[in-house]
Amino acid sequence: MEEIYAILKEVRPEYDFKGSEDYVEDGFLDSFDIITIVSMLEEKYHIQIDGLDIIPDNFCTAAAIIGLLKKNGVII
Amino acid sequence: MRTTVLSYLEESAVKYANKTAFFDEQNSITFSELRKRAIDLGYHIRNYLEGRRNPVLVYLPKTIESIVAFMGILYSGNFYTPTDIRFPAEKVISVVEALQPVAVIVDGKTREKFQKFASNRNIKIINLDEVKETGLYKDSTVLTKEILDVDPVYTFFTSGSTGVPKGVIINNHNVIDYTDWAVNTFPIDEHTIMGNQSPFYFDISTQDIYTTLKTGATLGIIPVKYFAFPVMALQFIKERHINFLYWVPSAFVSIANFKLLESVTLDEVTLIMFGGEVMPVKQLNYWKRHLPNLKMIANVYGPTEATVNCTYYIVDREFGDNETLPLGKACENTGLIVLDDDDHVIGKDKPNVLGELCVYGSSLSAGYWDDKEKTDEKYVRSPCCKHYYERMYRTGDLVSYNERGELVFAGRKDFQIKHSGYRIELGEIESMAMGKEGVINSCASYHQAKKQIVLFYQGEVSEDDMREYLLEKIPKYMVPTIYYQLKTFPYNDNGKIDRKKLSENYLN
Repeated sequence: MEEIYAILKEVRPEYDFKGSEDYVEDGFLDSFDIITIVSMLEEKYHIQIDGLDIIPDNFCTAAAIIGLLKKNGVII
Repeated sequence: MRTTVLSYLEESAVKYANKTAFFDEQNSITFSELRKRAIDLGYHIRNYLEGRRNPVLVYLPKTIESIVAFMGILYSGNFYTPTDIRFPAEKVISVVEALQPVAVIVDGKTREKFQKFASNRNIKIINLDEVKETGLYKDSTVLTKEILDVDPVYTFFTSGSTGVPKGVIINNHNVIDYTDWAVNTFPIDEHTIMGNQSPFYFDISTQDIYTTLKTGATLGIIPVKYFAFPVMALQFIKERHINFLYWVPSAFVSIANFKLLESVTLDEVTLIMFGGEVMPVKQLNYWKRHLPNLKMIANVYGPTEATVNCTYYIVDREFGDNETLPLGKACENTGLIVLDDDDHVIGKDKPNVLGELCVYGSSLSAGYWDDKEKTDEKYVRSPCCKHYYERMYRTGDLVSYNERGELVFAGRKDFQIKHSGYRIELGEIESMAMGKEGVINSCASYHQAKKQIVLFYQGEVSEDDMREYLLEKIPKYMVPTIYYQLKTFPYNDNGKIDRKKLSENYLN
């Protein structure tokens, strides 16, 4: 979980991700941020994220991002 | 005689009264409803404001309510400047300071937020949610009769090189001139459903809005957040039967890079067009391959100062992934002149000779808001017209003619550098780098202090491979010495690569 928070903090240091229940609803992430996060995840975990999985449900919380990683075979 | 863009709405509100004019994620509005609500707002604004031709800021979410506000402001005899409610406070304040608006249109939700910016300023805050029905719809000429075609429709702010935003004033005849060309050139009619991507403060939206009003087409406002999750934008396009897309290239590029058109087939889309920056052919070819009923592709170009676009190219041949699309030719009723450093004309008979593109004609803006100095610098007398004063706008963009007589973009004049005695176009290096297999994005820059050419790029290509590839394609003096392989590129509010940010982050 902390690994994910570290990535989010790197992308948007000004926001309190731990204090948000839904990053998308709270407007924390714009299109540029999502593309950045996707490429950071792909590089860190050596995976290729399917464009179809780039939906709010998979990016709304750190737990959701972990779910996406698990779907891609990452053990976390 | 057509003197105001409101005449488009007046006519469509009769001819297509109950047809949907605009829709967003939640709501839709017909032409006659839009006219009624806009007239109500026009009277409402007049109750608060004296005088005409004054700037009114729009501080609303990107929904059909913004369209109501734009039209209402025009009925009141004033003109609009949209802002984005997601902008940081400093940006909104810089626009407020440059524009000095007499009023702002807010809604129940954005009112409080705006009040923080407006404190100690004499700005009338008008809440769209409080507008009452007037019933005065029979004859709107009470409101419109004094509007002249030289009265402004909107002022859009572009980022100035000094950091102070510049407001470009666009009047009724500019928009009418542009809209006439657009509907004559592209197949837009009452069956067209356009998918709006452009922010309302960016002038692609001028075509979106006014061609809709003129032809009785429908404009679907694709929610901003869907571009963060592009598969949702595609689903919205499919579900809402959108068949016409005019976007900035980066919006097309991200969908192509995620290879999403394999999963969502857009079989109703028949036309795509793009402008604002260079569309990479590799991603365009991806779109071409995946739109089964695509009939037309258009590359458009132009500075806001000459109202949306001044050149266009309808793609009429195949392009290889490492080729560049031409800008094409002048839009109808637009004059173009290519000038060398001594202000001599470069004609089609001199292919591949670079010069600055200059524009004249009815599309030219009246100039910059409250900035005579900048206006006089960019809007000058045409050297081609010896016997009277013909205004001409210097775009600052470098172009040449190709062998076919088409204009080709070569980069910004500001991006032309002198290196080892050679004059080099950074744009030329970028387009070459883009041709390398695996490269998704590129941006060339010049490190003045170190006198080195720098290349930023995105894609799975090593720095050595990149250098070797470029050595084969361009002269050695043009090959960058420093390479930054980036995970992603920063973009500015208009969806263009943020060159300033790149330089700040890497070159200082």
